[in-house]
Amino acid sequence: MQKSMINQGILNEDRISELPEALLVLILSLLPTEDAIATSVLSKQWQSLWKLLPKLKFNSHHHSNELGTFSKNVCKVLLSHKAPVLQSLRLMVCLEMCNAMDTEKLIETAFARNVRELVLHAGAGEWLLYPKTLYNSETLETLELKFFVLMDVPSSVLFKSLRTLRLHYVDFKNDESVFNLLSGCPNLENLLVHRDPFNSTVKTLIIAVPSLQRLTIYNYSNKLGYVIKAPSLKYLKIVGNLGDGSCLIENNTTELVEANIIHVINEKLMKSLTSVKRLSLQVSALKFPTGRIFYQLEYLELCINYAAWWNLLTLMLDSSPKLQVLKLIDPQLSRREDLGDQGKWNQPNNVAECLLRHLKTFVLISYKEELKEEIEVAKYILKNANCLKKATFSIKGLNSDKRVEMLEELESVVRVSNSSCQLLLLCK
Amino acid sequence: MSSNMIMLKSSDGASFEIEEAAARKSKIIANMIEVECVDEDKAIPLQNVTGNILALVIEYCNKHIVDDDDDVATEEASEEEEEAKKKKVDDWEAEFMNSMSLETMFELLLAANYLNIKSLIDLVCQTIANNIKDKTPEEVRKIFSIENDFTPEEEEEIRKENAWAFG
Repeated sequence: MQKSMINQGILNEDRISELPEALLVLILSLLPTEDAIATSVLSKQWQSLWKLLPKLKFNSHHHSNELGTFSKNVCKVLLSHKAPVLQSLRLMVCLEMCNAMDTEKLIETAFARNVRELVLHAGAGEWLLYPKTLYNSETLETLELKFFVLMDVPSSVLFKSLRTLRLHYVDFKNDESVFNLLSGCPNLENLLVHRDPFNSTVKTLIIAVPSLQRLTIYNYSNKLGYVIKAPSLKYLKIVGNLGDGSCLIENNTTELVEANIIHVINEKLMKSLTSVKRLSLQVSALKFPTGRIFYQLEYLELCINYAAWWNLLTLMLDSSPKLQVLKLIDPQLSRREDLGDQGKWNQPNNVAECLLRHLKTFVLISYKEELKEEIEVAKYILKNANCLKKATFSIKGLNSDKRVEMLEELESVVRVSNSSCQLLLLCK
Repeated sequence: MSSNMIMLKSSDGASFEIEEAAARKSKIIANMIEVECVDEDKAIPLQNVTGNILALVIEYCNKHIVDDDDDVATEEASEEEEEAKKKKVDDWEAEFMNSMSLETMFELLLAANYLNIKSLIDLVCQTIANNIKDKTPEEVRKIFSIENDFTPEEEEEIRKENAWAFG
């Protein structure tokens, strides 16, 4: 940016102050809150402009170390804030500088200003008890709590407008607290829970939310479980390792259309996913349950940095009769698992129905320079997918000689089998 | 995609031909097209935009029309393609903004605001904000020629009110 300043020079007249107020507020909203507040000193016109900011963000580390100073400063700002709607308040607090009482005061002030989004990140270390008196808001639409917040939820809780709830490393006092909280959010649509594997009082989280549409679970302990009763659920993402039988979906309907499963293998979970249209899998082929048919599946993303991943591919092709889009992805940063003896890919005896009749798009993304089985699998798909329209290969570090060679090899397969397919080779 | 061309006329009388898809980036022009206010043989007069600024606006719109067309194909495009495309647009935008003076930047912002081109408004505002970020009030006043109309006492008072923000 400094370079651009030199190029763009200095103005001879004050053009910025002539801008309409809405544009000035937009410019201020793109600055850190403290920089925006500091513009109050520029001139009389600017003095109160920041008070119209719809979103405010504070970090206790930017304030004096003395306990209480942070909450005093922020309260002062909130009280002089004049925007018709306080769209968002984000607080990063360290308990040494802002204790439970201070935090309560801040949230109370934000609720009095009818805040729509509240984000509270507590510093790791001691637990912060979420204030018991602040479980009621008419206007709150989004609530995010992060790091060592303890919730002891009264039965009187009511977040009437809450649509999104994100809980990272939040513990509940007991099962009743979970029940109270979730039944107090009658319009909840998005829920994210990332549980602390070591400090979770509640072992089995019962997620019973009739209005819930999107659910994301991060779980890294096989001692923690879930029961999901969400008849409107459309999207599910589960990351981590669950023990056997610890995730149960008790839905009567089959609203679920999309699922993203990372590391988790669970027979009961897979059973609940047979109706999805889009599925993303990052799991080992070894323990993957067989015998399920994904009747509705149109889009499949498969992570291929697992040993013998092609066995899972063969299985999924056979069990997804309507598949239209297939993506094989070798993620860049993840650790490669036992690359030693991977065995070899064997062509299936029968060509899967989805290849014969439905597959339109095939994508292969790899950061590996040496491709062996990947190319064999790709050639098999190019050869057998009768309706293929587009095949994209994105491969890292392929030099131009190799690139031409590979393109020719793939093209020759396409020419023989399916002349209408478009082939695209991208290099990183 | 149809490639209907429409004519725009700047306040100083310069005429520009632009693809309809690009012109539609402007909500105002898009609305005019919707209600069929646009006569094929007649240029749309834009009284608040001069020719040199309109040329920049058109350059921006032309650059961004392709991306919107491709949205249809997003479903099938890989993340890689998306990322590469986004980086290309980002680089182009940085270069585009870097090539103009602050003076021009304000003209462009007012034109984008008048024509209601949301993404261009955001881009220019972000560039202006970057010129304010991490600077002292004195530096900001100097860059934008803002006259300090406070007495030293008044200024001291305001600084004290939220002293932490001036760290």
